[in-house]
Amino acid sequence: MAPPLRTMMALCAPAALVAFVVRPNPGSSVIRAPASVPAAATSNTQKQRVGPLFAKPLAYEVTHKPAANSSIILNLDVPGETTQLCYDKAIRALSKEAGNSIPGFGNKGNKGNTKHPPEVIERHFGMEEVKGQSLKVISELVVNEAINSLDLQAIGSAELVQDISVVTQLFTPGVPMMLEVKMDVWPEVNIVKEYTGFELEVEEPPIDEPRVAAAWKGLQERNVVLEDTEEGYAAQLGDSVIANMMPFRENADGSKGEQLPNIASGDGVDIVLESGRYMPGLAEGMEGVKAGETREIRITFPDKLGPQGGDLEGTKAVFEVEAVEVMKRNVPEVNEEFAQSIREGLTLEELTTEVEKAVMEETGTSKRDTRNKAYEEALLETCSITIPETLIVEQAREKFAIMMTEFKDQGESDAKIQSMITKEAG
Amino acid sequence: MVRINFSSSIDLIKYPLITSKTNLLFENNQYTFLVDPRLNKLSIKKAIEFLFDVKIIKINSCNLPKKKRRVGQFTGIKPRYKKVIVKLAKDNKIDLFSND
Repeated sequence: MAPPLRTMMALCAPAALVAFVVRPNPGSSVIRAPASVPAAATSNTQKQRVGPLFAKPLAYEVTHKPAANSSIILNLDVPGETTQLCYDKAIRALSKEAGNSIPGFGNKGNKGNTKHPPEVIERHFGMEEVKGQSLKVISELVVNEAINSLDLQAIGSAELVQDISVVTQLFTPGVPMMLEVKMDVWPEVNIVKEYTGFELEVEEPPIDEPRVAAAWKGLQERNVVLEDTEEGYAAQLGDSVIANMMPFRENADGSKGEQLPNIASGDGVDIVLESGRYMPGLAEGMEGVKAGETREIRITFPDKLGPQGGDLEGTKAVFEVEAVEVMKRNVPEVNEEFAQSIREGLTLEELTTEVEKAVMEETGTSKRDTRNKAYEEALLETCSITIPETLIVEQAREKFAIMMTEFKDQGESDAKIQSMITKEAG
Repeated sequence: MVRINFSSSIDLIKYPLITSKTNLLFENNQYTFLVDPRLNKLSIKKAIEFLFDVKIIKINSCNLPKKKRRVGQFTGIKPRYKKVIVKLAKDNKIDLFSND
């Protein structure tokens, strides 16, 4: 038998079976539908179902009482009329969802506009599903409405006190029901002592000396004055050499091999002779070079290179360097004059403050932050407060998300981050 | 013509047809069934009136087209049904979705 027919049989099985197996007397109550049961097939109920369902607000009664941990419990008294309306809405939603998928209903022409009798929807999705959907509608239209009307400062989402499956069992369209809903609200602050007019002593955050020194050095480097040299001047450490540079791979016998692309090559490269600044050995090898001189410098790349290093780690290479010009670098001394040169009218003292401030901002230990944190702690002592769980969880989630983003920035693989997230969630 | 007595004609009413089309007919107090093609309108009326305790004022019926099915090399015909649309008298109804 074709599937539609079979399904139809299943749909109508109870009525058909009773009718055909038993042979009752005419007028037997087994077969005749009780007058009180609303039959979808009749025109009366059809009329009731069409039309604007929610033109007027849904009826309900609500009382609330506070509960532990800054939460409240709402007692909702939902009348039968409202449950019926919500059930109807749920049926409509499911009918739309079913569309043309129920055998015997709909055709290709009217996509999603198929009308189903409620009983067909019930049998297609199962009563549990319909009831669940109805409860969802109730939570959207009644519970949320109740929460809004009470003017509570709600946080997080409301939850049923009873188990959802129990409530689903209780739900019957047209029958009044009680709903118990629990939700967190903003906590009340009980101030136990005076919170204004107190003084605090806050320790000044320590200054990060090495970073300040680095900042000074950077500032000096940026303000270096290059000075031309006479011909025949031999470069010393600390000088600057403008050179044409070409790197080659070094063969086993020490001769020049293939050219290395991409790295540290080019004409007119400014090389500052300072050990540790480039590849180890380069600056030392350049020491004493004169303008116009060409040198071959043998170096070995360090074992660990940055992301641009590629496969060069530990490679031996020959750098052919032709010095075009040798310049003296005059690093300015830190004094009033230096401050003046950075900005007109700036004193050394002001400059020092500025540098320290910049470093503090960078490291995130500014005086203001330290002060604010001390205030926060002091204020916390002046009141008693119970923090609802929702707030804590929310805060924790936020922190966790930030942490994850940081991990990602540091180049952790996505898979690893994913595994951490699931572990936390579990 | 095979003579069918009243008792067996009840079994020859197969099942109600519920589709979007018949759903619209419910509003007219019309119900659609598939029945054995050997039944005529009179016997159908008798059977349904007896089964559902209703009064029928009109019956439309038609024989559905043959449906051929092939199983391997053999071609056959699926069971054939007669479709009947019964119109009930006012205030009569059939509860097709009863849970009893």
